[in-house]
Amino acid sequence: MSELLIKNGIVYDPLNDICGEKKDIFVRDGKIVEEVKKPEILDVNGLLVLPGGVEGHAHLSGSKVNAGRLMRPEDGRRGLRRKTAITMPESGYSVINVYGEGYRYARMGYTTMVEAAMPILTAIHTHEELRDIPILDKLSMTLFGFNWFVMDYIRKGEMDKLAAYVAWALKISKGYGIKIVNPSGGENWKWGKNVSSIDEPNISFGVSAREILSSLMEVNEILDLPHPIHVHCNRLGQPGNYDIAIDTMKISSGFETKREREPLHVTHIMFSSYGGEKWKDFESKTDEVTKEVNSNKNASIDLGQLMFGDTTTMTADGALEFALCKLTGSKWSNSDTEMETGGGITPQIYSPSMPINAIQWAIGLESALLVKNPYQVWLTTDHPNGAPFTTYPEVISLLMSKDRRKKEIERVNKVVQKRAILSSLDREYGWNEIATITRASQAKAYQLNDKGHIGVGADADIAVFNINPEEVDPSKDYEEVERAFSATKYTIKGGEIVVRDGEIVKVFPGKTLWTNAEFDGYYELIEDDLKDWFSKYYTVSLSNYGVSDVYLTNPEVIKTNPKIGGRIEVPAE
Amino acid sequence: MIIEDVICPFCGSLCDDLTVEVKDNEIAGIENACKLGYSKMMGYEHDRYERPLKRVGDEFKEISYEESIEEAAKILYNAKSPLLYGWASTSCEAIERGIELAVKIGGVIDQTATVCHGPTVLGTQEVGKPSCTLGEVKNRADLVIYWGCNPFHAHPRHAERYSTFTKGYFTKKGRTDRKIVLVDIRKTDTEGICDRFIQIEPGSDYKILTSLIAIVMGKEESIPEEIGGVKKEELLGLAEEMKHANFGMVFFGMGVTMTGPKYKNIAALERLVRELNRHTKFSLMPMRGHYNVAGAGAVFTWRTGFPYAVDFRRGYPYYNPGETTSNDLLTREEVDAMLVVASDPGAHFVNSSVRRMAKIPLIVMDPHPSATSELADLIIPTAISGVEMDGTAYRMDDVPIRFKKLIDSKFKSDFEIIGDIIEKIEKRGVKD
Amino acid sequence: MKREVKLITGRTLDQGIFIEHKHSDEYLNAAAICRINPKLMKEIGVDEGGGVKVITDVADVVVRAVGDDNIGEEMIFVPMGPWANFVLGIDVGMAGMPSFKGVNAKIESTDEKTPKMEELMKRYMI
Repeated sequence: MSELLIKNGIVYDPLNDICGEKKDIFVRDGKIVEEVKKPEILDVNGLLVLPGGVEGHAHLSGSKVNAGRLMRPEDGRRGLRRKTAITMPESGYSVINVYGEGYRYARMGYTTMVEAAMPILTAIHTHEELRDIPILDKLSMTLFGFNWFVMDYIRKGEMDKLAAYVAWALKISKGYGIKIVNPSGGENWKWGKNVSSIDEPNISFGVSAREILSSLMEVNEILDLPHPIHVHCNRLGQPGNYDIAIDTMKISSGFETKREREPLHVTHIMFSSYGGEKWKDFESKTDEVTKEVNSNKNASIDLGQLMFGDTTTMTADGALEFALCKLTGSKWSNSDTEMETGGGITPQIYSPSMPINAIQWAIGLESALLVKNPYQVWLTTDHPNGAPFTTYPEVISLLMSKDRRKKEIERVNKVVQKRAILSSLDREYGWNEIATITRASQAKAYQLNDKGHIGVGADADIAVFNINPEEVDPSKDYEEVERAFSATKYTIKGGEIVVRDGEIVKVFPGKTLWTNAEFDGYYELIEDDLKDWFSKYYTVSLSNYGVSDVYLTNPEVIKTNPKIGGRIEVPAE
Repeated sequence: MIIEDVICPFCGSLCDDLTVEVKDNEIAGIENACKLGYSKMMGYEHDRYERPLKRVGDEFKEISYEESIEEAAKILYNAKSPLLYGWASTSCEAIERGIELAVKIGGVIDQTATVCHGPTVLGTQEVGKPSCTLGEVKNRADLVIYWGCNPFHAHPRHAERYSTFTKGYFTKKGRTDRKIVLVDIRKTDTEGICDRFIQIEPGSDYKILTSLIAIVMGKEESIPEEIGGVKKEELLGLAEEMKHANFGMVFFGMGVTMTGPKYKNIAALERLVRELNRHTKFSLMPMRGHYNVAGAGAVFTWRTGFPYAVDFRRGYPYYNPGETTSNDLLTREEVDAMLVVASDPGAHFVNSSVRRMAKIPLIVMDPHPSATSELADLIIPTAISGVEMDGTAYRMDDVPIRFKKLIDSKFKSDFEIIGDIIEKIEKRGVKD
Repeated sequence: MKREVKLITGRTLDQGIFIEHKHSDEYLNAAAICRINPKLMKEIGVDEGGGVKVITDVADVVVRAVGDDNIGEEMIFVPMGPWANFVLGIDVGMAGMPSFKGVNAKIESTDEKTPKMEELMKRYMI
């Protein structure tokens, strides 16, 4: 039995309505409890205490991330850190080795991560890397946006089979929820093409993005999945795409869900809030996009904030990466995955003097500042697409300080004052709102009841920052804020101190969470279809497909309550 | 007992449709395997090292397993520049431990890509790799080019399962839905399955590839009438076919990575494929040799940031092919002890490297005698992964597949042995 | 008579089949050979199965001639393995990849015997 008492911290715990109270926190055996007997005492008098951070969307493990590392030894050579008696060496700045990923999040007070894109065919790879990422608890989102089974069931109108397939695919990939990237359009990219709207049917299956989105949102509800459908919009990264983001969000408006979270999440909104017709007249359309968020309780967003510097872009949206590499001339890898998904990678240098990059930078911040309800926003950089996750402290300081933004706006290309609205926004985030968009929003959106808060019964994942929120004015002392969020005084994971004074002091594997949404007879429903297509079109045998438990560290299954199968009659074919 | 959907632990095709009959813990029959896979899996029992062996003078003396681990740990711990080499024919799980060992002893770890597709890695680090999984080829490809590779000999079932004869969703007629082209310096047996053979002069790949790039970019006037032994007309025709394919694919092998300017060939090939994507869909794929060489690259990359030739002598990963690659380290006589796992560099490294291997303490982990074990100071017998041990391997298209254990073995696996060595090293304390 | 050729090494089916039987006669027959155009065999005066000495800047090794019409007259093909690699060296200009194909070599007919694998490896220990 190990006990911990964190004394006299200034606690922000939005999900429990605790907002800057001086408070003791008690920990026993990895959980927050009401009292302890003989604890180790950490007197953190006056320091900021938050629940452990929850990364809601990042690309950290699997074939695409690894292809990025492979392609970029020049990035690998940045961020080198020697081994210690307990840690493995780190490498990489935007494409980081597995150890660096775990240690760097932990140093910043993060204790849970979501891998945002997992192909089923290579899910073993995703989980092998997750197994190697130390300290953090891990979830991964399974890709469905242009999966052949999904498109085939949709074109045949077989919702029950679609639900069964999704439940099976989540189980076999050990995934947490439904990720949708460039719905319908991704299949066209396999012929070197794309779709231009959410209503355009694709070449080979004749289904549109709208059909895929609404069908999977319905299946998400039928299967009672904990997380919304998690959507990377069509035409992402192209001028004039903001209306697609709005149309995508509108699909959820009025939709009824039993879960206490939005039914639809639009991810890295920065890349989908573009106005103009070409790069020449490129502008921010954050005002229009956030108007939709503010009027639609059924949609949430994450920022996909861009920060200046050299990074690596990577996505299952292969067409986008090819378009980018044609713009920059930089190296480019593509990885189409049979029957399921795709992927592309190309490095990017975001420069403050480049008009496009300056506007992109402004859009992310505008999105955070214009959405009224912080529970509808998560802080992300879509790591590593907008920037590495290690830039979060700087982003936080920008959101908390109008002064800092003003200074930055003076430094970047002047176009930002005309084609973006950032300079007109006065809002400054407070500690509680920062705690929300880095922890509570994600925990709620993923329905992680033991995460993102430090009420009794929660996992004892806690971050103590070397800053006194009662003394520091983040609006003025923004550099202090950035410094404090860069390395914790303590990071506590599952009741164990893993970081002390910014250094890793303990290493162990975290948990792997996945969702089991199977229902009576679900496999029988699709068995013949699976056998048929595996024998005809896949290059691996059905029996060799999928991830067994040997790949998971401390697996934890989220069992859902599907409203199908044993509960309702499945219509005969 | 019949075991179905067995994974073949021979080449990078990683066929997973074998049927194996096991009787009394012995393999009694195999269906669907090619000659390579069949001989490896059926021949698992021949010539096994029964016990660990230690060289004493000109003789090998049997020692206990425990003694062999102690001896291996001692050699590796005391070395200043130990090299851990091999890894392409074992499980990812064993490779993971190999990297841990390299970090703990502050050594260099390298894998067989260093003498096969290392240049493909370097080309990719310059240009990028537009690729796909093999099922994309099966379902879509209407033009397949084998360039400097000989699947008939090196990947006998590749054409049947993935690239030539197979039928797919958009290629319902299989072979007749595809055009197959061979580019090579000699008429190999692969030519027999191709529609067309383009014979090029040895070492002229780079010239021809860059000419094709120029043609695809619409600059055909800059190309001479003949290049690398090929008529301009023929190249124009090939470029036209490439541009008008619905889904084109190039498979390439050692014929491209090992000749002329080596990695520059690959960079040119990747540039060509990239350029073709302005016109249609085109991909490429290296024909990986060992069944898990792709897995070795993958594990190296996610654990260290770099795919091969990773030097931990500084405490952090340092990667510089040409300097930290095995043959260079050995030839420069920097390596002062070597561990070889599931590989035979004694047969496949160059003369100056093998000469160094013969001089230094050499530990070999292998089920069978090899050219390397002729030079060894310590031999630790192992179980055969894919026959006697399960684990993960990556196919040539980076698709991971879990391979099976078919029979029980009295031998320890690479995974267990490396784990035991690490334990001994840890007792001595992690080297700074 | 010595004749200049380009030495190409590489995989073959038989070399692969016997790769884990390196002490066997089958492996010797699969790997200690040199595929060579019959015209070139005539030119250097070697019969099918006769000894060919392959000489490079690095070393020389004796392998057996196997006539092959599909090999050009300017090259020879030796399967990858101990014999081929005995005469190969590193390529300092090429980032870690030794020269395994297109290597400058000379060949001549010889009465010397092809060394067995273990005999060949002993040469490294001197």
